[in-house]
Amino acid sequence: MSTAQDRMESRKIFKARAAAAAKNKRKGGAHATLMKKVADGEEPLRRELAAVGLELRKHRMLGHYTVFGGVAGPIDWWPFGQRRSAVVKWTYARHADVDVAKMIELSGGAGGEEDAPAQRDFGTDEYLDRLAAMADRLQALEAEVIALRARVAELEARAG
Amino acid sequence: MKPNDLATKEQIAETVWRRERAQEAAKEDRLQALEARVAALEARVAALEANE
Repeated sequence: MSTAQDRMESRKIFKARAAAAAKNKRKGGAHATLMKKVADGEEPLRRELAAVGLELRKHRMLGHYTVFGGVAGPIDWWPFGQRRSAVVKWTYARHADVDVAKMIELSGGAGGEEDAPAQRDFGTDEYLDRLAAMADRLQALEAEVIALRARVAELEARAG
Repeated sequence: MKPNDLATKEQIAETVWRRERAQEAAKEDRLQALEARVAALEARVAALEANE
C-alpha cells in the first residue's frame, strides 16, 4: 500500500519527467537531433541508436511510447532493433529523409528473421539499383517504340 | 500514444511496402508490353523494307 510519502515521490518523478520532455521538445526533440546526426553521417551512431531504442522502450513501458517528435510522415517511432522488419526501417528512413541504405546498415541489416524472403532486399542498394535500372529500361523502350513507329509510318508512306 | 498505435504503424509500413511492390509489378508488366511492342514494330519495319 502506498503511503502519502510514496505518492509525493511519484508526483515529483512524474513532474521531473514532464519537465525533461518539455525541454527536449523545445530543442526539436532528441529524435530530430538523432536524425540530423544520421543524415550528417556523424559517428558513433550505433551507441546513440541503442540509447534511443532503450528510451523508447522505457517510455512504452510507462505508457508514453512516443516522446520524440519532429519527423514528418506516419512512422514517427523507431526501436532501432534488428527485430524490426526491413519494411519498417525502409519506410521510416524514407519519411525521416535520411539515407535508406545507411539507416538499414546502422540498425543491424535489412531486416530480422521474421521478414518474408521477398522483403529482405527491400530498401537496400540492390533494390534501389534494380528500380533505377527498370526505369531506365522503360524510358529506352518508350523511345524505341516512338522511333520505330516513325520508321513504319515513313515506310508505309513510301510504299503508298 | 495508445498501445495499439504500434500495430497501426506496422500496418502502415506494410501498406506502403505493398503499394511499392504493386507499382514495381506494374512497371514490370509495362516493360514486357513495351518489349513485345518493339518486337512487333521491328518485324513490321523489316517486312516493309523487304517490300521496297
